[in-house]
Amino acid sequence: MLFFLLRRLLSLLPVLWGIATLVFVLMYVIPGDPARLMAGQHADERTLEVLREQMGLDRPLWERYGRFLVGLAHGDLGYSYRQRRPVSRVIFERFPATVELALAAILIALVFGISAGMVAAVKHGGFLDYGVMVLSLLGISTPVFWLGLMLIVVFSVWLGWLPVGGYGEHGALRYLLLPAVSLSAISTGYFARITRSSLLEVLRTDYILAARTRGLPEGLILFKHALRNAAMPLVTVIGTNLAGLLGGAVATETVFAWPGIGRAIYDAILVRDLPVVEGGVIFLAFVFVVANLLIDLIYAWIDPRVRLPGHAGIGAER
Amino acid sequence: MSAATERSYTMLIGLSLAALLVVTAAGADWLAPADPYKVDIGHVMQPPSAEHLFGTDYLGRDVLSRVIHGGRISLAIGVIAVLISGLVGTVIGSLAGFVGGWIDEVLMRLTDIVFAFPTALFALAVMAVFEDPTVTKIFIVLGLVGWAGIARLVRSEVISIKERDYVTAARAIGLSPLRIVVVHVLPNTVGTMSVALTLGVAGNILTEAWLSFLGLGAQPPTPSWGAMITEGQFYLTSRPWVCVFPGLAILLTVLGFNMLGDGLRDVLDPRLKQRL
Repeated sequence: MLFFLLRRLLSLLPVLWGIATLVFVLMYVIPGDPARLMAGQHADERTLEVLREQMGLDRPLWERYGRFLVGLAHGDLGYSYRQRRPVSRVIFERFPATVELALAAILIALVFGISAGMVAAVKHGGFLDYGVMVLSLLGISTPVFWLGLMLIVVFSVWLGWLPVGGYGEHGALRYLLLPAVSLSAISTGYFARITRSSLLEVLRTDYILAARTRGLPEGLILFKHALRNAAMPLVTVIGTNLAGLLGGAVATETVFAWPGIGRAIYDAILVRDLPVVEGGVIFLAFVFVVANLLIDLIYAWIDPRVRLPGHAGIGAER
Repeated sequence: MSAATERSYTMLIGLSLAALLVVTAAGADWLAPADPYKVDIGHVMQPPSAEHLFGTDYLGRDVLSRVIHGGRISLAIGVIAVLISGLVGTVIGSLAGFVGGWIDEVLMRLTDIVFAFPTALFALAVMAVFEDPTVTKIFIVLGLVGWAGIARLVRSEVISIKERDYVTAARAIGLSPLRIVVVHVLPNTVGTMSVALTLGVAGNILTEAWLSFLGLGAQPPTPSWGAMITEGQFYLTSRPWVCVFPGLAILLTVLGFNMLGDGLRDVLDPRLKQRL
């Protein structure tokens, strides 16, 4: 297990380096003059000169690249042009709200996705199965920001049950509900489909047949014997779904004025505050990569076969 | 309902929705009842009526006409971006799979990096750098960030095919590697590819709508579905139709390509069923 852990940690480094390099190119090589972006359109040449020196823009590119990487390793994500403070501060401040929203969405997706998938598999070929399939297809095809707007129209404007947006005292549940539900739509659809198809597969195996011949109650077979093995592919999909979830959070937080990193990225896009946009994206990508590492570890813990040297980790075969 | 009829229903509905998009996009100039750019200050924010089936927006433009024309942008982005990533992915995947050795190693590490970066966020990071995001830039960017999955797919197909007898035979009679790959190996990947590409169209359309909604895509007054929702959201509470219809258009289009991809996969490659 320790060897597996080390191997996976090492495989993380090139990925993180690649993401960092890409963002460096995007921020400092392509956009022309960062000093001009920071000082604004009307700054005079002298100010720009001083600023360039302060920002180290007069140094050769490879030196700036080195500094950028070293800074990044220390958690330095740059300096916001508009907020006049380090990007890491902005992210630190906004991260809890995003975590709250993402976890709530995953929870909703797991509960509803798995139960819908189970119902569909048990009632295979029936009306309920068909209904779940249609709903899950609609779920994975939904633009989450639009779903959010529609939920606002129905539940906030017409029915008046829930607030239009914002962030209540101590993240009151009333404020969390609509954004979490709309963000969960795509994942719920995927989880339902995966649960259904993998449960169907397991229910066809010999050991389930054996359990049935022994006369075990159907409920026990389903929950104790079948579901446990059917859950394995689900663990993988949780990881890949996180990408959609973090991307979706940018739009959902925008729609609901939810004070997370996604909203900070959107606000920064509007005022062209590039360091916050790119710093936010680096951070979300980092969260995604680390979360997937954790999921890999959980997977290896549940299924010892994954730890074998020949196995490149889950997701490698996709 | 048996699995076979269920499958053909999925294909049929998917195909119809995709065909509907292609037809309305191609015939937008004749099908749209009005000019999608024509401002009519006397008739702003009209609810849906016989004259304006989907109502009008804050500038009095006909929402139905804008939705129909928006289909052009979505379809163009979906298809062109998928072709770009299909091409890049095929070249990298077949090179890595067929040549092997250190070339394989380098290309696959590169693929791992691109694959590990969430595609939509990657696209956002690139689009945010441009001072004037345009539709053209979106499909180039989406095309260039979306190839990693295809490259892996093609590589594994190529590796499994290249040891077959007929490829050895082709080598034995002295055909060039390029010819072997293009003529004898790649045609065998068409099944898997068409599934991946169809689902890719759905993903690209969704990502474009998301980027345009965030202001990093098609700019006003271009009738892109995502941008229409951005404009409409300010009047959401009192005049929801401006948002409802472009969103429905996105939903149905993406649903269509997802169903088509699902149906194709069941027909062409049952092995893939597990992998979504």
